Amino acid sequence: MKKRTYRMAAFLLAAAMTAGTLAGCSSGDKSSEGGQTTQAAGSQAAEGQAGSQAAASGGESQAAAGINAKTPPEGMALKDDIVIGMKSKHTTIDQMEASNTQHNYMWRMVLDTLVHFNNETSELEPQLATEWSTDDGGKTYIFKLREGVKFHNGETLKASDVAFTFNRMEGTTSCNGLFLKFESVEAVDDLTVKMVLTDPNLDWPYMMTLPTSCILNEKAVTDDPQEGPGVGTGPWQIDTYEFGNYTTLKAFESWRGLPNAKTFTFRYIPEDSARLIALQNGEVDICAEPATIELGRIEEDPKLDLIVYDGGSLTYMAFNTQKAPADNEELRKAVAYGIDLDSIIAVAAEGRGKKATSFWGWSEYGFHDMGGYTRDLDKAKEHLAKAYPNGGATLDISVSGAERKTIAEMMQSQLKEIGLTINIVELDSAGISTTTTNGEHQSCIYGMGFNIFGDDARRILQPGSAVNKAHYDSPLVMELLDKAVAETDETARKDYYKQIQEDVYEHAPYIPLYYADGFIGVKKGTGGIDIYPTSHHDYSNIFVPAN
Amino acid sequence: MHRYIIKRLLLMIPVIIGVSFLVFFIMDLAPGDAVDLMAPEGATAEDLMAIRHDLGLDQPVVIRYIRYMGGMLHGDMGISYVSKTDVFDTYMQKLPATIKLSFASILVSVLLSVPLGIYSATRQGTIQDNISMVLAMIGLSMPNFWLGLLLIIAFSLHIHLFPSGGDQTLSAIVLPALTIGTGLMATLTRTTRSSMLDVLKQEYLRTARAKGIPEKTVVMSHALRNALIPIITIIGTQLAGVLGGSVLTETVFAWPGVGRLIVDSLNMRDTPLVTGSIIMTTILLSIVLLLVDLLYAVVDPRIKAQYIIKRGRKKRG
Repeated sequence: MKKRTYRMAAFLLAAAMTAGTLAGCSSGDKSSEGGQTTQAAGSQAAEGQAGSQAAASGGESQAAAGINAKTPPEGMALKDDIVIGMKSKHTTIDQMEASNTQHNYMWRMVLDTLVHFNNETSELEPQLATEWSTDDGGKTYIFKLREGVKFHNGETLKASDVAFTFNRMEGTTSCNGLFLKFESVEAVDDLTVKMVLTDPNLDWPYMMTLPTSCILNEKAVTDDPQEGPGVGTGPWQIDTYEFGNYTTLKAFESWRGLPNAKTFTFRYIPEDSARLIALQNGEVDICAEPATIELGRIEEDPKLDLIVYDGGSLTYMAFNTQKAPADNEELRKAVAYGIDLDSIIAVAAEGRGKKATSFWGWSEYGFHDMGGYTRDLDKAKEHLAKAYPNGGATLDISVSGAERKTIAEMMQSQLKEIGLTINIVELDSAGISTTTTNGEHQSCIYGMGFNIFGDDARRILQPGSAVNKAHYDSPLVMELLDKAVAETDETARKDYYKQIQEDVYEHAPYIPLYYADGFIGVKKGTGGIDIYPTSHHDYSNIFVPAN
Repeated sequence: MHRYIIKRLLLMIPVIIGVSFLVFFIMDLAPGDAVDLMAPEGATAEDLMAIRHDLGLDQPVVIRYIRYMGGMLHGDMGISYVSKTDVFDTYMQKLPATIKLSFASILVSVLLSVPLGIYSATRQGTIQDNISMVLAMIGLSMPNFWLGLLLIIAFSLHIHLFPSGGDQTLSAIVLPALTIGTGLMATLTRTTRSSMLDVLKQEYLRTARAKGIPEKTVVMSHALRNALIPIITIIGTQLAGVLGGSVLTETVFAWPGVGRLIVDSLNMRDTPLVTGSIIMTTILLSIVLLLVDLLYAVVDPRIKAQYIIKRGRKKRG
């Protein structure tokens, strides 16, 4: 009798636990539909892929569907206080100390650059500078400033603020590289700035569109070095900042106009599921960087929109060309022809990525379609035999993060077919960053967001650069980069960039894998987000429906 | 008593030195440093060297450690590599959130475990006793992050009763406190049960019952007080544990506490912030454990008497 009671109790308990788990794991009111819901979600995910590809061709399909409209529909009641859930936190309000995605959101709202890049037209537009010119082939630039622009502290923008900003960059974490390109920067008069560069650079006006080039107020920074860098001319001003928790901005009537809301709060919610639930729940209006495996939940939810855009970030494989065994070009080519990119994209990126056909940003000036490497096992074996005539080939791949580990695991299985043994070295983000910079790795899976100007490729191809994870040292490539950045003839310039891509394709220090699509989960009807392929979006004009 | 307190406080010095030494050297042994993560993508080797030099990371680890400890002697815990803010200030900014969550979690744990333990002990060997113990074990067995997500889905997404995270509203503490509290439940329930069982067998309770004192009074007034010492010990160590930061729960609930601060700093290899935060946590834990020891004397007069007897013997000797 006693035994039966125990069994009964154990059964009831197990049933209760199972029920609890199922209730917790269900996505909404459809929990009772069980398998059917999963099936439906699966098919929607497939549709989402198609949607993603449609969006990839310019995002027009989404715009047509009313997703991320530029301006709020007439008569729409708007929310005053907007909250974005962020995967990463703000660690500073000084733009010269951090230049990653989460900080760039803030800089684009709070600060202004001299020049603006229009994502739709791909044209440069005036921002704080109304006009600019160079008369010596890109070594000297003159910028004329907009008149009467006010900083958040009431100061008027002067050329001395611009000179102060660029001179302040010396020795800073994010902007020292930019500072080193200057020979001098000075205020000619109140509204004219003269910049003399160390080398001619026709991409300079493009570089002036980057958040690292935002203009600060000299008085604000001098009076208060801690808070002063947060004073800008943008349509939002910093209200409160709590390190590692949240930052709240409040609307400011700037020369760009008044924003569509009163406050905008960045809330740090590192856990992907919790961040998405906060969006579903209405606690946040925007979910930045939703996890790829959870996108279906946003697509299914009638109260939400999923903004899909072509991401400019390239996931690639880099071989350490200065260290055995990856210094062997034949081995690199064996890997290039031995892997199947389509299946890697399908599994590691959940099918939400575009195959990379050249080691270059697709939105970057000078992109040339090289066709990419196609899997050819005979060719791969041929190259491997040249590299290792006696067999026994092994290669370490360093990775960090789940997605890149999956890529490495797939490569491990695919390359086994040609007789190449892959060892996966798993590190955390700090570990992989340092070991690959120091050249301690054999190869690695990494990623980089390319900017719009051609010379941006320099940082990943230049010997000694921290992001040249292949430690590739090609005098020819450097010569071509130098020629291109100073070349005024468009055709010749594009040809230089084409030659660089051909060189990289030929020697395979890098294998371009894919450009992952970018996603933002938003409350239905949200719009006004200026989408950047680099994912450093501008939320200055965002609007969110009130209900 | 005072001598005991001073002795315990002095013992914290070697503990702090040991902990800081271990943290500092382990951080140095781990691959990667803050510089690569802080530097912009286009940084050159020269840029990295300049940042490394600015942060003093080009110095040998021993020199850095001695300098750091030298600063500590003057009350300077250093400046965070990443946020460029004072480590002590940053830690103190996050501490209130952790203290709030710790006490709320302990409250949940005590409110659930102590009655359950007493209930179980007074019904030893029955089905109710076994169910109580299984319930407590479930609390222990469920991983915090999983339970946290389940609670968010149930109470935040479906029932809309509590916010899913953050610390902006008072009700935001309920779900993370429940998550941690249920995790602590098992040990406390079992301790309460076994401690109560020991006491309930004592002769003086039989006497109390024989005198006609109601069972409720016997259990709650006579037995429980005498069973409290092990319970307080467990509560104290649990409090010390959660004050050190509940990393997973703080991450799931976006709770801006010390645990998340330490993990984020570890990921960024922000050595001054990691070392400073761990030293502060060590001090906090030592103080909490000392307070627990002192609480024994308050709860049990026999322990207080021991201190007095020892002092008396020393005076006579």
